[in-house]
Amino acid sequence: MTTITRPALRPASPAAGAKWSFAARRAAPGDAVQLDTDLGAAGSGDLVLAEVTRVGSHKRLQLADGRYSPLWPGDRIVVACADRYAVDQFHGLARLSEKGADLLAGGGIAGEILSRNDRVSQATRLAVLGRLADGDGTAINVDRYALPPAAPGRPALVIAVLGTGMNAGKTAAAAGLVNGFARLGRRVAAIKATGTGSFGDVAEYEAAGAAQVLDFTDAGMASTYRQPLERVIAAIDRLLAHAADSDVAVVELADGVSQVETAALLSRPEVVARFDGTILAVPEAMAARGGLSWLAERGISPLALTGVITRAPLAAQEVSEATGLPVLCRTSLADPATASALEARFAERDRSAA
Amino acid sequence: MEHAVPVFRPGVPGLIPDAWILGSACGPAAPAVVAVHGITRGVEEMVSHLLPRAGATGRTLVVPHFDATHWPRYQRAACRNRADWALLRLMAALRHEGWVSAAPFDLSGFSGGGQFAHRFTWLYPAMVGRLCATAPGWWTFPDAGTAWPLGIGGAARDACRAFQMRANLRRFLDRRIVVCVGGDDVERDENLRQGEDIDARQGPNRLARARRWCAEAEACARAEGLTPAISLRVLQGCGHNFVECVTRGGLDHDFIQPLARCAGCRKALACTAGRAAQQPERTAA
Repeated sequence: MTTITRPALRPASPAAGAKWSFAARRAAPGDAVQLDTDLGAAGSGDLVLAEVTRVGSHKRLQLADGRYSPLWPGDRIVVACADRYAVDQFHGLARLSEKGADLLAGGGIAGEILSRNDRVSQATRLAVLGRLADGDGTAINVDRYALPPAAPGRPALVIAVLGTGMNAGKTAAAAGLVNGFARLGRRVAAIKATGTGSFGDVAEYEAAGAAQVLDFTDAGMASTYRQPLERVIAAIDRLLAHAADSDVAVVELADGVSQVETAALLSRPEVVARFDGTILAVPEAMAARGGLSWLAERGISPLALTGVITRAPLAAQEVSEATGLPVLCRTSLADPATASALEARFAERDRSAA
Repeated sequence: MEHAVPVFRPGVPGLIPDAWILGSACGPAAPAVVAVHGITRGVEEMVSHLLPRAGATGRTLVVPHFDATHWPRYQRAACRNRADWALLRLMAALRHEGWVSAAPFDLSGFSGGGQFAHRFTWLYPAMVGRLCATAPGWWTFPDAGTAWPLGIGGAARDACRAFQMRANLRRFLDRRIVVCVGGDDVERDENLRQGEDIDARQGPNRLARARRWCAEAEACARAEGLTPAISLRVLQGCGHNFVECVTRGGLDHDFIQPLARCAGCRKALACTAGRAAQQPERTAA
């Protein structure tokens, strides 16, 4: 009689065949060998296997490889449980339940909606199958895959792009800056320091010529909303340290300056000191005045204004005359001569401070 | 001299100008000299009259050709077809090909090339070590009350340019600037921009305009707290003619300065080995 010895079978990943979202992009799929169904224990950054039960506002998922994938009922997706702060879309918390969850962001963020902008339809609804867990049964969190700490350092020039709100034109401005400095011959790092995991900004920075693109997901967070401030600051330092071999870092802070984490960061002088200068994106003149006033209370004086307001030359002229600041559109920011001027202006500040 | 024969480097129409290049015996570490032609675009004439000096000083010489089809108003540098971007692309390509280093280069120009040279340096002061602007027909003055390109003020549509020029003002003035002009360059020829306003503001001819620009630039530098290194050299017996300025006025010596010393062999003037000094000479005005 012949005895057949079968090799021990590795358990199939519960996420096999699932669509892995951008927020889960740094994870190693092979680590996920089982599911943890204790959804009440879910926290921000935990990876979740879910099934689409209703396609709503988000009809596509941003995949880990940078492509969009249309969503269908019955799709299995790997997303991160996390909080979301988006005044134009959803406000939600990192909560899961057996009743289901909401897709809070197309980058792959799941949670429970608290409120939504009335211009946005209902969220895409998910059935939560469980948290992905490793062989020890430990739930897998994106922080496991964060970039390792690097030697302290930072690029010689760090410019922060701020905005008075969501969709004020921050990312377009940041991309313009990246392009201008790259065309000046500088090695540029683009960093999205806060916000919700999404590949849109990353792709825009890459397309603008950034030699290096980093965001908070590289520092182990799926979203920075409601994260401890010290953790966010440490993440910024870690990302800047990883960008230290670049000449210039363009750092975008998400949402408006009065958003919870952004406001807290900008209210800490030692955080602001990490930036050599700031540029403020605004949608219109009064927002510019309000934003500048808010920043002035914290000792922050942007070098220039930019953003959606630049689409209206008359509004740009109005705010420039009222504030004395140059109003630079994305095209102007992408001019290497503007990058040269910004370098000169920062050098001038250093000289004055010395 | 190993690299005594200049190389013609074809460009990319509308993006990168054609250029004549004479390599340096010191290799790419020696800061290059870029020489820009006037609006007659006498590139080969400029190359042939600068070659001996480039060879004698061991400097890499780059002479771009901003052809009239693609860069009809290259003198403004930040013109519609952006001659300044074209030079940035050329220098990036030459760095990539090993002709030049990333160190600041010296920029010289004659007539329309002098216009281009001083405006380019103003836009990109960190890229230019020493500027030699010779006999421009007109200048951009360090005057915030006058709109670009005559000054650095800005109407609303030129707000960006005004920001660039003002932000760079101090860095621009904080370098060796040599202004040359023929002593007989007083003709009001058809290539001289003329008009009641510009004549009143800048002067009736190139000699007068060069004098006025130097005086205002020097005053502005002092007002900025700088010790200016701006000088004017009047080329005696010379009119508005590049060859005459070289052969009779010695303009090639102004266009191409010897390196102060080679950082490798420590020899003055040209060297044949080692790394060249990265800093241009600084001479009191």
